[in-house]
Amino acid sequence: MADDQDNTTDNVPSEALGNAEAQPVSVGTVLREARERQGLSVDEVVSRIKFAPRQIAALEADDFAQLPEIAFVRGFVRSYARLLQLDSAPLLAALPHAPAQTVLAAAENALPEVPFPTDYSSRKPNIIWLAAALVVAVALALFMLLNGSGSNAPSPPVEPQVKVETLELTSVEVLPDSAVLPVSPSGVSAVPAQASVTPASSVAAVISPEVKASVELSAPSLRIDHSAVQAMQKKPEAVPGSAGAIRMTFDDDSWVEVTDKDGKILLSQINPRGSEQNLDGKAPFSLVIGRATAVRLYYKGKQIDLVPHTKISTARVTLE
Amino acid sequence: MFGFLNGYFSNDLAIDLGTANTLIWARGQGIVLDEPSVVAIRQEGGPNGKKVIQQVGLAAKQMLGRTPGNITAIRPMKDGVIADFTVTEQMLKQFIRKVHKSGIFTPSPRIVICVPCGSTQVERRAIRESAFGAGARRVELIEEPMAAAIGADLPVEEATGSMVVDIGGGTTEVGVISLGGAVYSGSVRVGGDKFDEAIINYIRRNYGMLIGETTAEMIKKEIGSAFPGSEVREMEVKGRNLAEGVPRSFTISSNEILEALTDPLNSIVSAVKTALEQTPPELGADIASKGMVLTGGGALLRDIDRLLMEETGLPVLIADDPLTCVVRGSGRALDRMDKFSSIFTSD
Repeated sequence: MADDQDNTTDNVPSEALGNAEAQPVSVGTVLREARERQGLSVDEVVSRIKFAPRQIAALEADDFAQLPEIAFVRGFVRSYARLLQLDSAPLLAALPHAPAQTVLAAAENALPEVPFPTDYSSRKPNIIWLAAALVVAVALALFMLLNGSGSNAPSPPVEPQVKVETLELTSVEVLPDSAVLPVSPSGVSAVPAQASVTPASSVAAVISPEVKASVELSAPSLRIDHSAVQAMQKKPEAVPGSAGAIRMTFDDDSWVEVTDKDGKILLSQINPRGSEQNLDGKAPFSLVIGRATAVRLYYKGKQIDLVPHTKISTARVTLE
Repeated sequence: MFGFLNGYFSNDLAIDLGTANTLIWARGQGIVLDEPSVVAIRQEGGPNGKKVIQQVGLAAKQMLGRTPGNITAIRPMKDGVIADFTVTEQMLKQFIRKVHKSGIFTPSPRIVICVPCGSTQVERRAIRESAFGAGARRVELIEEPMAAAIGADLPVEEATGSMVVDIGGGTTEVGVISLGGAVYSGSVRVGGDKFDEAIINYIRRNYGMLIGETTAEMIKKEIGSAFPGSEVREMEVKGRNLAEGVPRSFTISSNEILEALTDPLNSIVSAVKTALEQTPPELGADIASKGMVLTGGGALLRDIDRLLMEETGLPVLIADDPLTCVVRGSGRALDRMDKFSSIFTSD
């Protein structure tokens, strides 16, 4: 420190004079010269204005990057100047001015407000999503229903199906009484589960309940398959009306797209395993089947071998 | 529906409704009014004489302590809050009329008003109501330390601690601000008025002389100081001698005023120390490296920064133009009222 002072007392005055004429006043230089003129050391200044020695050194070197925001620097210069009994006004004027209204600029650069999810707000979208999902589900169901019946007779085949079920139920109830089958107690509980029918036989059931009982007996291991039942309800009517009936059964999930003669897309979706699709329209149909090995395709009652049409796993078939 | 258009036709105002002075800042014009918060009311003659507002502001202040029986000069604000509701409302109405030209088609202004951070809900409501009564369309309240910090150009929105000490006429507000919010705010009801009071009491006790508030304020401004300095200044003061009952003049020195001011100054120092104790360490470190900033009229008391520096060991800075910091800060907040709503107090 003493060494520093020795250096500066010798050569600074001339240098400062030169500076003052050549360029605008350097705040740091003025303060340093005044301090040295009064014989104050940096430590004495520190003890008076409580800024750290490095901050005083930075100010005297005009190194504003090392100092806090300009508002603080202005106060710093003011108290330093008063300590040295200098007029602070010209020094403050020489300081870089605070750019107007930087203080609140940060607020504008901030992120757009993201609401923090509270209990209330987190539930609300859920309800909306649920409602949206419900609407979509209903729309899909309607679409399926209309699409399924659109090419057929206008009356939906719902009623026959209901009839089938009630008939089945009654037949099941009747079953133990009729004692056609010797039934064990476990067999009784098994009967309702078996109470469904092959598609073909359910149609028969509509016609004659008596026949149905025998069918059930002969086919003890059949499963309930409503879509199958429904499909078969239509089938007897559909087959005579339309020339081109496509039936696909899916052993595994598979994507299928079917377009008819007019380019209308009859089906374009992933079909779940175990489902069945029945389509009608104007031939020729062009089919793209995603996983051909998992699909059995029947056209006008005949099974079509997909193997010749399959590349990798996708089959492209045109049905005349 | 066309509410957004009103902004183009009305002057929005920011008001620093202080105990000593009221300042009004208008959007696009800067500070348009700076007057003492004093109202002179004249009682008309006759048995059913009504009360009339004689003067408001500077003219009324000159009447303080010099009024005949039918005029009373009132300072309706006390300790930073409203002491006389109707008078405050009238005063505000007069001040607003001076700066906001009202017409049939000009909408009433939106107003931002500062409140001391220690004020109660009732006091805030009184200030809000009186602003509505004075013709405001919408009133937002902002706490004084926040306004002072914005006005002093402190980086209030940044993640760094800034400490501001606003020594006003009625209260001293200490706030530690970071990220646009007050981490700590404290308020003591000590300010310029208490300094004047202390000077009056000291002179009565030690000299047996009575002086008025205006004289006490003048003494404070002339030779008052908060820290023993190298030069001792003296001033001749005139007052009424209690024993003789006649006006006398005497000389008082700055050291005596310093002694008189010890009590109120100690309250301020302890408020600042309490704030530093309550400040989280990270913010305390920021304050230690940058210093605390003094605003308000009290910052003009000679060597008050020196006193706080010696007592706390931290750098203490005086803001540019400390008297108008609060109103400038409120004005800046008003400018960005729509984007910067978080700094206004909700109640």
